[in-house]
Amino acid sequence: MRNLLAISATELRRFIRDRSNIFFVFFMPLLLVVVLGLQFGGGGSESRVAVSGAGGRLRQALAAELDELSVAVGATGDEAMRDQVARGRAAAGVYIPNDAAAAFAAGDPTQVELIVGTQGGSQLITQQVTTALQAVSLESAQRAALTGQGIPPDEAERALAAAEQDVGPVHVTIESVSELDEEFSGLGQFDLGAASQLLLFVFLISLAGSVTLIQSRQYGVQRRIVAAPVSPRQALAGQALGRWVIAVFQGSYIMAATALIFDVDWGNLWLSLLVLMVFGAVAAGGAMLIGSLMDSDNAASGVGVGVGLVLAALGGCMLPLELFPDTLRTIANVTPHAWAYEAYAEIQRHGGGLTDILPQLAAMAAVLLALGAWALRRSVARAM
Amino acid sequence: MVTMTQHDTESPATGSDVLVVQDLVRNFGELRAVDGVSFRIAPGETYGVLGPNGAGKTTSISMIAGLLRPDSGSVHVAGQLMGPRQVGPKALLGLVPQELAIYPELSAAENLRFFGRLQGLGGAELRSRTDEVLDIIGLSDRAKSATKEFSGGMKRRLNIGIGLLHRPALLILDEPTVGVDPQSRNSILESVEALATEGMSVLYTTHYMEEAERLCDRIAIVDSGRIQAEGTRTELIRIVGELDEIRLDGSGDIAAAAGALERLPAVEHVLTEARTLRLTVREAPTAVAGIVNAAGQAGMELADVEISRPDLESVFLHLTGKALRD
Amino acid sequence: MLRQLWTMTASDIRLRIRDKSVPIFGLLVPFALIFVMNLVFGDTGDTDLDAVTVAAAQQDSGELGAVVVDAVTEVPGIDLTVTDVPASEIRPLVEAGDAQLGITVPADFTENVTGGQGAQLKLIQGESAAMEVGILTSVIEGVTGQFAAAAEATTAAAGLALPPDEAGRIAQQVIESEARVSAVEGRTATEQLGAGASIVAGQAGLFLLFTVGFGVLALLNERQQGTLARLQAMPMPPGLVVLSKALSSFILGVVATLVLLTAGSLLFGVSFGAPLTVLVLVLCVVAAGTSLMFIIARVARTPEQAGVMQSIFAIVLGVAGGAFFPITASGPAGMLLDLNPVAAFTRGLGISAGGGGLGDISQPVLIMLGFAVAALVVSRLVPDRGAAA
Repeated sequence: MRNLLAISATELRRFIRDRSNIFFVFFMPLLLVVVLGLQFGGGGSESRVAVSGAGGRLRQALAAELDELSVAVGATGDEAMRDQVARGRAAAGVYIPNDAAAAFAAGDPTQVELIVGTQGGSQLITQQVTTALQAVSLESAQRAALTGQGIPPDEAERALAAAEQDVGPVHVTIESVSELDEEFSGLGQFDLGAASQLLLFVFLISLAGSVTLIQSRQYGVQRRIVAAPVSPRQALAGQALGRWVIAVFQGSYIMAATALIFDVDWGNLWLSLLVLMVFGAVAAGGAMLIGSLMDSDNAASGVGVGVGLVLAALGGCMLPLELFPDTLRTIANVTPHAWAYEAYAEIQRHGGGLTDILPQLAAMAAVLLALGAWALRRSVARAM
Repeated sequence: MVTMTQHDTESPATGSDVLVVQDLVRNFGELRAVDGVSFRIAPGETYGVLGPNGAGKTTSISMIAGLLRPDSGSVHVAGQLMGPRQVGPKALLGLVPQELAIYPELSAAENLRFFGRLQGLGGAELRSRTDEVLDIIGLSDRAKSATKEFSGGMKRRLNIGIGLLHRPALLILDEPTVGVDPQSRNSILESVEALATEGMSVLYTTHYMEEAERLCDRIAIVDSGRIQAEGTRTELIRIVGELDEIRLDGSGDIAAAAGALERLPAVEHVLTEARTLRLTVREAPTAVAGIVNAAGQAGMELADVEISRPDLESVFLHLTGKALRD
Repeated sequence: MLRQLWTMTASDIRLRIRDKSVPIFGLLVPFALIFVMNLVFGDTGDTDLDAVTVAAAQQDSGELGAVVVDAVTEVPGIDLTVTDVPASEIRPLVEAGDAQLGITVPADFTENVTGGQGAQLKLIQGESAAMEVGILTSVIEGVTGQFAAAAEATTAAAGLALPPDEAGRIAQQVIESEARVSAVEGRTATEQLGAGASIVAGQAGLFLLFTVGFGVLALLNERQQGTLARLQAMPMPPGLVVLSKALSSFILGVVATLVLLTAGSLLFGVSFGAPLTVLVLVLCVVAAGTSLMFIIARVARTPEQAGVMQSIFAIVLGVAGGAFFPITASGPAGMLLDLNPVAAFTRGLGISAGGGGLGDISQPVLIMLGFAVAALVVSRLVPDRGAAA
């Protein structure tokens, strides 16, 4: 037992001392939490319309109406607008020619140019801009109808302004019964990203550790067998424990940092840590397996990065599992990430207790046992 | 004749010499690794550089092979000035670095062909030369195996073979026998002897006295970045003159014995190596009785006494006050 | 000299393929990722409109409620079914997914709207067909906007003491008014890739940075295994060794990227445009990636350090270049993102996929080549302590 602790403590110390790890362990996960939070969290997905061309009332009115429809509006030059739409940085662009602005001010019918991008959602943005333009037109339609009855324009204007105060609005209330919205409604902007990045990085960094295993086999086996009274089994267990300590260390760091900096709510701390520890064990098992199956450290680091990213994508760390199509959602269950993701969802969103996450923990433990048994047989067979 | 000069004032006229090294100096920060080294190698000559680790042998070799630019001084190979950017003279040299310099993933034949092509060989010539060299280094039957599966000695032999491939005018061997088992070592030495008989010039660095004595026509003894002495074996031993060596093995107060012996008029040098005292002594046969006596009085209990004639080791001890092997 | 350069380059390429690092990092891993990410993200860029069922509870005694429901049925492009149901059934239908949108028009809707008291229309959205429902919702908001405007006009008319039937006509006029500002469809070039294609392009760009990095690792390995000294003793110019590493990186990078783009476009049915344009873009991005490796070659002392630096460069540039999810930014941040060679590469492929030719990709090409030159200059300026020392 002492030997084990000594080996794993050394592993952790070596890991932290290696300055090159600082970036991946301490900086990169937080960076991605921020990027994901800004991109997807907190209504970041609303579409954006770039408006260019002449200023004045038409432009102001259009912007106000779009805003009413929860469409973000940005003002740019004509070229920049076309560029933004072409590159997908704006969902649509509106160009208001000078004569259109003048015609609108004079109450005459006119046209603006609408440019819609090619990405998904283009029909929606077209409809929203059309609705906004229609609303913009209504004001002048009201005036035209009144002046058509022989009312002088300034009088009509005043009467309309007064009427606007008196007349009650026609509300459209929108209620969502989507389980998705319900699922994500209680989440802070960074909560989802924090949990998925935790899983992604804990697993990825663990798998990258398989290289250490191969190197120590390549360089150190004979020396160790000669030098220390440590059996291959013990040495292996020490290595595994070392990987696990590193995984849990990394995960705890992400939990602490995101809780402090981004106010991420991890729910019941002890349960979250428990999930992390079990998941970390699976990750360590995966590292041991790759380390025992492969001989070239270059190739192993490739496989580690590949497997780490693929499982993360499949396990809901890049796109939330809830947004997966049904078949894929089922397939996702082959990854430990998906189970851990669900466990965190229970704890973070539903205040779930230990019994609620037992199935997930059991699934991960099963994966772990299978990995562990395989890695052990393989490793002992080749003396590490 | 013995040249003990460190600063050769001759002009770099090279004559017919394969290698002319003039006043090489190289510093690494504060450390002066090579401090004014000059020597020449004639065609067909095997020239040894004998010195302990850290004497500046490898740094000198690096400058001679054009890997390193000297801070001052010059290297001429067959009359051409050598430097990192000089292509012509490099083609005349065959360098065998001290560390293994082979691709572990490639087979022996692939390693040879790769470096052969870089040396400008090709076609039938490359093929036949590869076979010849494999034969010389005794790896013909393992030509197609990946070298990472080779034993240490086999790797060493391949390492040397690559340097031979293009029939260089001068083969440079930098400590080729370090870390090699006795059997492989012997075969390496035999190969070098064979090459020398074929007329190849060889520059051989080592810290093994026996290798230098066995292989080299002329030897430079180096220490602290300088050539301390240069000449044939006989010439070098003459430096020590009529001095013999007496070895005292034993226990007790060895340090006190060393101090006492140093004061004896017949004793030139005393070197302490664990439980052994090595003395450089004039007229050993007559002095030995007094020495044994003085050691005993100083508190050393002798187990063994040995008198020997001087060899290169004694020369080194005489010149530097240090043992060749630390 | 050329012969020596090629001997070293060819040997290097062979070694990289033999130790499996390039096949794994350059092809296998990115391909697996492309495949999985296509599964996961594949249908998020879908632009086809699905069929929608709307459950409507029409309780309005007046005519405006019917106008709302009619407006919904007239939306072009959506295959729409409207079922009339009692108000109490709307929620269960939407929750069960049998209807995607529920509309409840209250009994006194017309009366309250025309009377100026204000009214409320209740919509219930379900989980699926978010875009279609969004379009319908927007249409409904437009119609109710017209109602409100008409009510305002009537009230104003009353305030101006116009007779009630005139006021009614005014309301009619407002509701039936043609949009005074209409939109004509303008055009701009398409410079973006579809969801599938951008995954392929982004991953190809990201892993390219790993593939070209193996040249630097090879250089550091040469030093560790001692062969660098021997190479330097060969009768050739000293710069040739580094040049051969760059060349082998370049060749492997070009081949891996082309294979990924080709395989990706065949498997996922996406097109990147004219082969020549794509080839130019690939050559430029590989040049940018390779030149970045010169910096690492100067700074990193060991293969481990080089590996880590390489991963940092690759992941930062890859993520910022949109390899995993599209990153949008405007202003200075957007400019900075534009300078990223992976982003420029994806953008160039977008232009080319949209039908752009060699003349249209000049900007991304200049960015990538500019990056290459800048990296080379930086590599001359940083202190040399690494493989090239």
